[in-house]
Amino acid sequence: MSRITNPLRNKVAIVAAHATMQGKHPDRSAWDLGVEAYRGALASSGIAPARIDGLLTQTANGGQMDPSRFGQMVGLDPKVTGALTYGTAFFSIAYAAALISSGQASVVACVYATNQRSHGFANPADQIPANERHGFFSAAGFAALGYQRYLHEYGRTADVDKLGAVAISQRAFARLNPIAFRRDPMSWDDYLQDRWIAWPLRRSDICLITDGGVALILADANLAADLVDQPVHLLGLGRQDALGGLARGDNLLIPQMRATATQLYERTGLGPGDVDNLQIQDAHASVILHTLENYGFCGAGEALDFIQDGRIGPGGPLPVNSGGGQLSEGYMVGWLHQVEAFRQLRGEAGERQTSNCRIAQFCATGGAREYSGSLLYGTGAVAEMLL
Amino acid sequence: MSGAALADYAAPHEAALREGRIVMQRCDDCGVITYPAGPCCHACLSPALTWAEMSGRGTLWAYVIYHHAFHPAFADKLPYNVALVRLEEGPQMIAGITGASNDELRNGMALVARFEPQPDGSRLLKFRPDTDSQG
Ligand SMILES: [Zn+2]
Repeated sequence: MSRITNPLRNKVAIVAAHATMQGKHPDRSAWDLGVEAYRGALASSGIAPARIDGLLTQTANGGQMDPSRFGQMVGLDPKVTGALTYGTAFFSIAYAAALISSGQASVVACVYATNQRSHGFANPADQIPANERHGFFSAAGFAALGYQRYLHEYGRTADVDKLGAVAISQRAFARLNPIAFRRDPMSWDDYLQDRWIAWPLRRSDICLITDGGVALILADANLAADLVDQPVHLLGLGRQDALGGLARGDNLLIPQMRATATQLYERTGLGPGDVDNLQIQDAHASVILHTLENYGFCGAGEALDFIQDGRIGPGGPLPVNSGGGQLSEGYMVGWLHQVEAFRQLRGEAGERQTSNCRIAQFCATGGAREYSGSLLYGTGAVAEMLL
Repeated sequence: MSGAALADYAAPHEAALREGRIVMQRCDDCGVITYPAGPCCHACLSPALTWAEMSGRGTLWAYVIYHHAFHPAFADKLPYNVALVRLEEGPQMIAGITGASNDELRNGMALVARFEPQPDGSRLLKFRPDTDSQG
């Protein structure tokens, strides 16, 4: 009988995380924001810069810092310096975990920063050539097609407005988060009066663009306890891509997430019922529905009901994007979600703290629905229990 | 092929669209249609591909109604629809639906290509309800 092993069991932990204020920083460069985040991660953890032997930045999706220049700027001579020219936070963390678990580096700083709100937003290259001549613009187009198809498949078109529970819950969380950009209250009336951008998505269902920076420090799990008091352990990782895109097959509802979930849950022996705090990279509110269903937090076609009545909001049984997410906190392509998971698992999330938070999950997908990745994080006690 | 840019692979498809036809690469070895265009069949990797004309018939898989103009050229068209259309040969294409109001759009409705003349003399692919179909 074959036994499923977890290649990342007890290998990697997050030992520091810091994010800048989100919003408009018109007078600051991405470098400046990145340095602030990096400095904050070192200061809050007490980790000496000399311990950093790996440095990763992201130069895609708004990320604007060349890693060699950044390392020079902050006086680092790491063993390994790298950047991903594609992807989002999930990819950089997976890269850092690979460096650490293969022994190439032991303490890796990962830094993302952008000032694209103040200084312009470069759209990623066309996924399918020439769709813009038909007026098909923005990643919101993909998400709107997916939500429309979802409403049709489950006979819920009359319930289109129920998606508002996502934006409203996340705004309620953002109001408890001092670094969040949008902290004004949002009621159901506010949501329903908001304008359509690409029906069935309203403006409130689509992520913000913000300036800001995030730094994470990941370390060999065996060093982590010597570096900081409360490391947050990476319990496992899953990943499945689907590259047919819009042109081929039925990828609108991101079905490859189901394979990602199977990998992650089989490797860790955990399941959706074990997750205390859920972080979903929310380019659009509708990805919350696809994620909840594909990972098994609720059944297929049930998510619009599952998210009602505060169930995913402050004090609810399954807090989702408890920092406010990309709809309200800020748009750092998934990086802020790691900071929030780190704070929640250390009990440092203030008024928005999830009670008895022991396990957090992060789920990501791409704007064109081409990939899915997920991470499970746990406290030291959980990591020990899984040994 | 100059530098084998992706645009070069798609050039025959694009040129045909401007003339009012949908052509895609059909594999001589396994018959699968490859779209977007490339140097080989995506199913069997054969380089033996022949440009074949599609029927233009398909069904509406999903659609969006834009209420915001991301480009000034669409400001006077709001609200306008964009659909993902599944061709009867398999591939899915993005295009607008004409000949039906936005309220009349239904997933699964039968569609047929309708090319609209453009000011520059070229044509733009749209789809309209296929009233001859039982779909
Ligand atoms: Zn073939």
